[in-house]
Amino acid sequence: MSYPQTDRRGRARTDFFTLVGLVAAGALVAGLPQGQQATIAAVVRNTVLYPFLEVHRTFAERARLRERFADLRAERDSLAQLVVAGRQLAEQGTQLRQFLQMNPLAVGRFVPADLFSGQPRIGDSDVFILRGAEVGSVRPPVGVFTGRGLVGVVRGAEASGALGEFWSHPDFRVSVEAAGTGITGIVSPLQDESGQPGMLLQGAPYQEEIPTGTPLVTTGLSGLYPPGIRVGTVREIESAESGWMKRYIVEPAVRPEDADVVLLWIRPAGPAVGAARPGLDPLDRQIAPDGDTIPDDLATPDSASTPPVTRAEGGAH
Amino acid sequence: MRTSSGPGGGLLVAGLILLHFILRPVLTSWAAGPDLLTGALLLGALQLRAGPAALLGFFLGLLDASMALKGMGALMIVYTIAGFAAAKSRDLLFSDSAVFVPTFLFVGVWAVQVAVAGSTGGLDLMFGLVIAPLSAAATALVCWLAARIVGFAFRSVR
Repeated sequence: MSYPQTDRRGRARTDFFTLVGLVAAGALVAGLPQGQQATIAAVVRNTVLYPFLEVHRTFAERARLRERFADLRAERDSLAQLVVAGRQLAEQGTQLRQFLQMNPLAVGRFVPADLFSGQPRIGDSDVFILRGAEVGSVRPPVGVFTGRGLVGVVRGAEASGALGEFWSHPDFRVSVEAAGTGITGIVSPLQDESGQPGMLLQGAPYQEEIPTGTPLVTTGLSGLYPPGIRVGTVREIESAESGWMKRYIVEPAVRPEDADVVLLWIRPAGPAVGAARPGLDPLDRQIAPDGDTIPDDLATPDSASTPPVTRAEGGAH
Repeated sequence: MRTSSGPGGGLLVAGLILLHFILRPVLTSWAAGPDLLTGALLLGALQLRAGPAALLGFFLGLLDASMALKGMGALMIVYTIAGFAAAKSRDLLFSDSAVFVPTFLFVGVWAVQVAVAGSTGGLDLMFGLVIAPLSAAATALVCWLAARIVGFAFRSVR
């Protein structure tokens, strides 16, 4: 029979022309500029591939949450250990102060808050908004940090929230000490080549060397932050300033995008922090003898949460 | 072994395509993970005429390039030609041998992976002689198992 053969030949021709047409279409797409190829890809991703991409996003988010959960458990366990150890130290400190007839140690108060980055809500990645039950009652400027380190400073507060600046804000400065070395300096924000915000330690003595990886902690001199809050770690030397000072690039302890739940430090009421009071032990320069006592749950030797204990142990000032 | 044709075959191909796009982040993280998309294309081409097989390849290439955000055009051409060639080769090679489909998949996936890597500039000796054949073997195994399961399920239904 000739008809099926003719039909098969016709189909073969159709198939061949289909192939040629599709290859030509593929070549046309391959020759398009990157922008137009990206547009085609975006259309496909927003239609046919959308459910699959949603599944991928969901799984990625779950994996991130599992990781975060594991981190939080580890942090909680570490904190529990520190609290146990810190209670003993706090009791000993209280007894010692009573023995020396000194005023009780005041550590101020810590207010928890949820942090919302200014990007994209406000359009400025250097600012943030805080929400929390007691946030509106704070009197700026107030230091903001997490268990991992320094985040920024509150600049304005209203009824139910507050506005603050991350450490990446150009106006930000903090006085720091290289842990275990006694070397002090000022940390300011720095924009690196990749556009990522970083930190710069300025004013470190020329004749002294801060080893790479040394943690930098707040000195507490300004009264804005309690002493001992981690600011970052020294990454590399940046330059020597006219043979007098050294500058170091610092890896931040907390990147702005990693901050979500934070603590605000309400410093103890009383005379200006850092001002010596006649008749008081030099240790009392940064504390207020107004009757504040160390809350049990805050009295740990962890530099991030119990600066007075650290300071009493001869730490940062 | 023969692949199931009709609804069973269509279901197998659709299932492999769905699995590929759902598991893509996992599969692409393995150096020699199974390439279910190419497996689905080759199995589909065995049941289609050359023209529709080329069309299937064209759209799968478009989807994969859109997902990967690279190789658009090149992937479409490679998959189009792969679909057409696989459908054409059926007339020359098809047999009832139990090892035909796994062998066809192994050779086909190896050739397509080398062609894809060559068209996107990622071809080297290690990939061509070690990673691509391993991936092709994994693909052949997974597709063969899936075909067996689908074939068994449809026989049970009947």
